[in-house]
Amino acid sequence: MAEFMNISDTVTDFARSLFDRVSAFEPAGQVKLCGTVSKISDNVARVINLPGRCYGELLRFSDTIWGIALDLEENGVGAVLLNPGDTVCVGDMVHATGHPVDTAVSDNVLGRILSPIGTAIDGKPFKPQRYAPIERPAPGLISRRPVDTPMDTGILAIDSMIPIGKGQRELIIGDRQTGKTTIAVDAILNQKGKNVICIYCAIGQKASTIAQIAQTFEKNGAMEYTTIIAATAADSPAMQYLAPYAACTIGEEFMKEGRDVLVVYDDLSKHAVAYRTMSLLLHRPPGREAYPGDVFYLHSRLLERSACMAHSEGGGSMTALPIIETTGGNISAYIPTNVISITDGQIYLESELFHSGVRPAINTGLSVSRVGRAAQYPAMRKVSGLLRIALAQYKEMAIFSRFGSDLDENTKRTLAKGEKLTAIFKQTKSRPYALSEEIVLLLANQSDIFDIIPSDRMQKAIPSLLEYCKTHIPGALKIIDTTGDMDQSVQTTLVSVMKEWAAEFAGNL
Amino acid sequence: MSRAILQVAPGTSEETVAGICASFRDLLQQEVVFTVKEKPELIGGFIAEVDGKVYDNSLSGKMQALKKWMLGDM
Repeated sequence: MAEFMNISDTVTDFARSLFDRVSAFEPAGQVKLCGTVSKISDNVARVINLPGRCYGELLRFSDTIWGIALDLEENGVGAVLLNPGDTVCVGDMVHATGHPVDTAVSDNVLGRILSPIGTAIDGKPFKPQRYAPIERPAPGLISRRPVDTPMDTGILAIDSMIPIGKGQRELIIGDRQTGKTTIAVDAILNQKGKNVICIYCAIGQKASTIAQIAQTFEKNGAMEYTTIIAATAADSPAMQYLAPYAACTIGEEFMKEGRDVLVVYDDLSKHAVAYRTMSLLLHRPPGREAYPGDVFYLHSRLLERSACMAHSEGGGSMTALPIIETTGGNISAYIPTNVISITDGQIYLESELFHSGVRPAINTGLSVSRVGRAAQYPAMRKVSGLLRIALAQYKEMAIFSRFGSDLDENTKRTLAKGEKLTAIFKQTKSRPYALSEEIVLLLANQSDIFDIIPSDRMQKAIPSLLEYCKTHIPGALKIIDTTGDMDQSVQTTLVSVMKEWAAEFAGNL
Repeated sequence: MSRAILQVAPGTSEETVAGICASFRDLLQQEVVFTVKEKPELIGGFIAEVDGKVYDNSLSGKMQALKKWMLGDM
């Protein structure tokens, strides 16, 4: 009976509370702005008599169909629909929302696959906590500080020769099927446990590809700190146009809280094509390669929002890895040159290297990081100094050696060392290296540890060396991982253990 | 002179409709020709679409607004 009375009291209190809240509501008529669809074709609608319209304003055609006002005319707007407009007819009412396109931003976007306008597409319910406009000005000069903290990708060739810092924009460029997405995905996988929020923005990709990438993230525990923003190839050009800006906005919100963010835009070539499609349908004048005149601004305003913020602004950072697909290895085409000039360096992937088994297929001659060694750990600086030169010398000698069979000892030694260095830089997909592993491999190269190992045994030797060091000197590796530096005693210990390993490995051959 | 659409709930009397039309003529200070339609979804009240604006004084609109208001505070 007492329990029944308690429940009854609770219900009464709840009912009273609900009644009080409803009573506080003041019902009033609403006045909304609206226009009329005068023309609809190819997912572009002309809306007339829409007062107070703004550029980039979100328009509601129905409960499920939205559009963006991108063309302002004297008595109407040209609006690009975000959803298929099969049910939109001439004469339909269009309501202006009074605000620009926005997307969901909050901590609960982590681990989710969302559309650019903040709806869930991973089949689970999603309630956005806040919205933020997708177009915002980039941080000014005073709010920034120089890039000086490494962003580990876990890919040895990049961390040693093309180092990326937090807040940098590093372009990944190459032909189709050269491993561009793999590099970006591996960089995300390597952020596990490093307190970096990752956002993967898929633009114009196949839904099956995005599902595979999501599965890779799930399998490797990366999904808990990653958000995927997806505008697939089946989505409208307007959705594909919005996707990178939505991803950037989500990243900016985390950056404002002082956190480090890594955003991957995969890929901006498809983004430019979607923007071209929209612009041509809006009858904007075409320029070079039929792209509109502001295609540079399309990418520059996106990438300028990635920054390393000053400590007075929270000290957060947003690192961008935009991806561009070239055709026939031509990096001097229109969109590639635009984005190369915007970013702080590029990682150039070659089909020839990929097909010859060098993966990641990075052309270290054409790749560069304009931030450079400022974004490297002290330990890495000690072991990576002459790598580019060594590789360049090896490539030159390798071409030269094809023409003759009589080579002197020096040349043979250089060739052998170059082959082993190339083998060191080969890396399995989805297996990023820890900093200590990278230092071990480069120190082994620097100290000529691999000299007694035949070139064709390198692929077995490398994991064996890493395993040996983890077993025999875990303390030294931990010092490197935690401090990012390696003093003389640690270096000496490492070299002597590696020599022991080399003798044992060579003896067992 | 402008054209407008007036949607009313079923059962709204002709006097009430005439009163609404007269109010809008006074508000807009011009002659307005109304096309009147009955819409059961409104439950009560009316929705008028005039000169690029939608004046929503329907019961269903107010209930939607109440729902948004309640959810907004949760």
